[in-house]
Amino acid sequence: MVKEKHLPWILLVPVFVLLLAVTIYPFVYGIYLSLSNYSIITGISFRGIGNYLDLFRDSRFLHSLKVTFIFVFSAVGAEFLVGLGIALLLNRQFWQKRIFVSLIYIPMIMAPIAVALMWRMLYNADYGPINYFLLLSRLTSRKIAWLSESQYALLSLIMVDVWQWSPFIFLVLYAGLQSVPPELVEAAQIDGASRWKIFRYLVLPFLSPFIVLAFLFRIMDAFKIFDSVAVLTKGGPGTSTEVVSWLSYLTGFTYFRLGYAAAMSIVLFALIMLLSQVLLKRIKQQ
Amino acid sequence: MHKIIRKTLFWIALAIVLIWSLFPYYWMFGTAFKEAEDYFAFPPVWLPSPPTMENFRVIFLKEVVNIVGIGGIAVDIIPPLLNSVVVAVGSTLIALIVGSFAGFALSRFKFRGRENIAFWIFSIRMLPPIAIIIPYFIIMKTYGLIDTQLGLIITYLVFNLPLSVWLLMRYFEEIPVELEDAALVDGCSRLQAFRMVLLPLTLPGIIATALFCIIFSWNEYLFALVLTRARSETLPILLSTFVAHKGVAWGPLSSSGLIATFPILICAIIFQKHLVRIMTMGVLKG
Amino acid sequence: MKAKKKFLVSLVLSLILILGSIPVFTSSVLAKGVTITILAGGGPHLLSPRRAAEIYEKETGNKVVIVESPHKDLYAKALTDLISGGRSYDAFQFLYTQLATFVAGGFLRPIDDYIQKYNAESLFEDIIPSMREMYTRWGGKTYAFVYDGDVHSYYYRKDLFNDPEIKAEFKKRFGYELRPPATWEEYRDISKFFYETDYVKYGDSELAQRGRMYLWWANRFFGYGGEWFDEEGRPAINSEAGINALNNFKECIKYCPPGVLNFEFSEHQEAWLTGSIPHFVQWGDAWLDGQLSPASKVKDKIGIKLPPNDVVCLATGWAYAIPKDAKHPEEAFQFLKIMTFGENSVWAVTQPGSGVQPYLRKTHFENSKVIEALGKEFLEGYMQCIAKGKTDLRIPYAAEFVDNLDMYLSKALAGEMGTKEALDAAAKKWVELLERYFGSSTLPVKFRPMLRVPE
Repeated sequence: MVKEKHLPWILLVPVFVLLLAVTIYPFVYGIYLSLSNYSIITGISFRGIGNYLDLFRDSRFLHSLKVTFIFVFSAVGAEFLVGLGIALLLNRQFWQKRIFVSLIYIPMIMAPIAVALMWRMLYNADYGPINYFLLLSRLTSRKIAWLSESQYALLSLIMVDVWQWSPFIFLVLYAGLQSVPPELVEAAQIDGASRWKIFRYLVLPFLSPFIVLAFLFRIMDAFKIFDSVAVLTKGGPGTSTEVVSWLSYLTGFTYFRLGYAAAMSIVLFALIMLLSQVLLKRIKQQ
Repeated sequence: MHKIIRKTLFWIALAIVLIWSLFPYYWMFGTAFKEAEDYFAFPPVWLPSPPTMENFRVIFLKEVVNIVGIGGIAVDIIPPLLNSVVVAVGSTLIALIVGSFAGFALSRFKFRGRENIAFWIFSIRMLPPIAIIIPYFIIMKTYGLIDTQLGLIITYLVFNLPLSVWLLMRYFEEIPVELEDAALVDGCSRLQAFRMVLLPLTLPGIIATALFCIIFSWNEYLFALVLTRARSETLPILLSTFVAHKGVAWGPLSSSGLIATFPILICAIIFQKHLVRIMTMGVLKG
Repeated sequence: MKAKKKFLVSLVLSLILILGSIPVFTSSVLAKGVTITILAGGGPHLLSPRRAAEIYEKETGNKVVIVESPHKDLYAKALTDLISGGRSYDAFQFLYTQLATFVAGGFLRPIDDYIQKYNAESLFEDIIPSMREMYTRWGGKTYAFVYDGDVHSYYYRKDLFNDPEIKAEFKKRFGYELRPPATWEEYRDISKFFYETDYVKYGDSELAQRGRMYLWWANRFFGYGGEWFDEEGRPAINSEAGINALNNFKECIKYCPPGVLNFEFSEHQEAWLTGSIPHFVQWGDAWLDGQLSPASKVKDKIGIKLPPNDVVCLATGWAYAIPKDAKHPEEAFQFLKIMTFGENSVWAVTQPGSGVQPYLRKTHFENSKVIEALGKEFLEGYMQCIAKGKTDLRIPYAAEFVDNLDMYLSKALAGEMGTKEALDAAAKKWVELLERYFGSSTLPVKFRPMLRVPE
């Protein structure tokens, strides 16, 4: 008979073994790489924290951090607004609600690479439907080159992300809206409270743990963005869409500076960890 | 009267949301059925008439098709399709089995370090793939797992396992312990109670977890890019090969894109209820 | 009922797993005889290898497996394989500018002994000398086969340039006769002219997408007299020539279709094939597809000439090499010999959409089949360009040098940096790379001859 005290540990063995092999070991190896110097001709040699010191003086890397931050916060911010809007809109009973809801979250289950390729067609400057509509409705006077004009390239990537992931926030917030007791809302409405007041003081407090959770997940994922950059802009024009994961990939697979590339991605990981900690603390507090 | 205006506004808003969500997909759908010269017709062709099945024929029959301006390419969608299925199902199964044991241990047993272990497993999700991609390549090469389905199955556990553990743990926590206690009183061991009481009750949660794992494995790009060659290429890689040296083969790309996204779409619509439930998970417990 | 359902589900799942893995499993177990594995670029660049594979398989009874990869990933795939023990491929496709990197890393096997053994000397001697040196040789040894003899040329619409009305109008506006430009200023004038008039939709096209656009700058750079490094081995990309080249590039961009800054090969080629531009600089595909592709609107209207100032860049070009530790090097050699020389190469060169340009003096340029398909005019013009071509950057670690230059050029074109600022930054980066990789702020002497084209 298995001792009850030991049972949980025994059950956890497979998980630990697998995670050790699949995550910890490569990660430790990655750290070792980040502490080494690698070049195609001379191979690998230990270096210590030199790579990290170089990174903080590397203007191209710092620029990529800046681009990544702008991307993450703009995209997640916009996703939040859109997701909240849709959640509020759909927070009522209507005909065939289930079908509409499932149509709305189609974007988020598609492969990011497929999404990026679809949008590449839409963004085509000369023939794409987006420019067609803009010209038709006289919102612009010329064909905008979405992916090759510095001021629009990052915006284009943000739009793709917003399109794909707003449904995620919508679903989380929608579930959150279900946790608001309807009796309280009715009582407030009877008391004559305005819709805005109801939302701000009644709904929002119930929603806030869900909001933080949605932010947590989205921010963690948005920092890792790669697929759409690879397909749509390759970091260009210039370096206006060169995010950290792309720069790390470029450094590793075109320049083959494996140690330096590893250091970049470890820094990215550290940043994600830090931000998540902050958000998780907020969740715990509530 | 007031009500009618509000209802109309609601449906208009809903229509806008739907158009925004579905337009890119509709565009890819349309392109898959268009003749080559219509891909970039300006003004755009909204409904291909007559629709052509050429793009589907090409990818299923492995023909060499001469694409205007690009030259001859030959595509075969069956092997990548099979690979994607095997990898997704395989990785998900392992994640579910191992994850349910771990989730059971973490949710039902109070022991030291429980919270820490749970957090540590969750934090793996913060790891950007780019950080371990090179170690992964080297490790896989050493064990001869490059360009194999098994290699990808193991690799995808990096994401699937933590997710599975975390989600299942939450689902288990939702079920009152009393139900298992009743079984224990009847003479079952803890493991038997687990198998016969807890698992069946959390079946919807298990399905939802499986769905997420399958979606991730199906859509993953970066690891598949680096770790596969011709034999175990998955669908996302196939899609990216259409962006070829000399241009983008929009027709076969769109038809392949449809094939690549369709199975997931069907799954998502069928299991819509479960996906929505996932969103509430873990919020209340943080 | 529940148990039955569970059983069915597990049965279905196991069947899926087993059936799905069979193709992958058996393909590695059932291969008989010698199987050689070739890494090739995808899309059109598969046509020639596939055809050669059929011929080779018939001749030798061995099997050829062609692993396809998007072109941009070829370098990464080959190198990652090589640095981690590399026995996956028996031959792989790469850009000639990368040869130095592969050789310096000790990854390639010199093939001079095979050339002797298999009597391939006459074949290699048929390769145009400058291409032979650049694509196949490093440090006095032969390492590779030429796959695609690339050089840029200036292509223009003869019908537009010979039209009396257009000529008159041009003379009126610019004060000299319309003709293929002798300087880059004239190139810009012509672009401006056609952009501002209605004879053709746009004035020019450039491949300005981040990645290879430095080649379009390089043509201008050489035209203004530039060199990659000066006599002391210092980077000379930010010389007067470099600045003029970049300024001219910037000006011409104005006369291109919208979205030009994201133009890769297909958009650039498309602008030409749809008849939307009067001239451009491009690889030989401009003629090959322009004449032979059914969708081309410029058939029989194409003129070819040397770009302004009679100098051009031998802009990248594909080659094949055999890794040092390849499992079947001799079989790979045989295969490459069949693919890149003789009958198969003639087929490739005359096949629209194959992506292969001529590189063999007798077999291609003096072959009646080739002359018939491509026309004497093209072959002569192309030869001239090759004769006046200057090399792309061929030094170890070229990929990093060139990508950094490309990045700064791209920034300047996008307006993020000024011309001089961008070039100075690029030159500074090059010095940094020289120091990091070669331990000196100037290019080591042993590499300098590699940047000069032999006669």
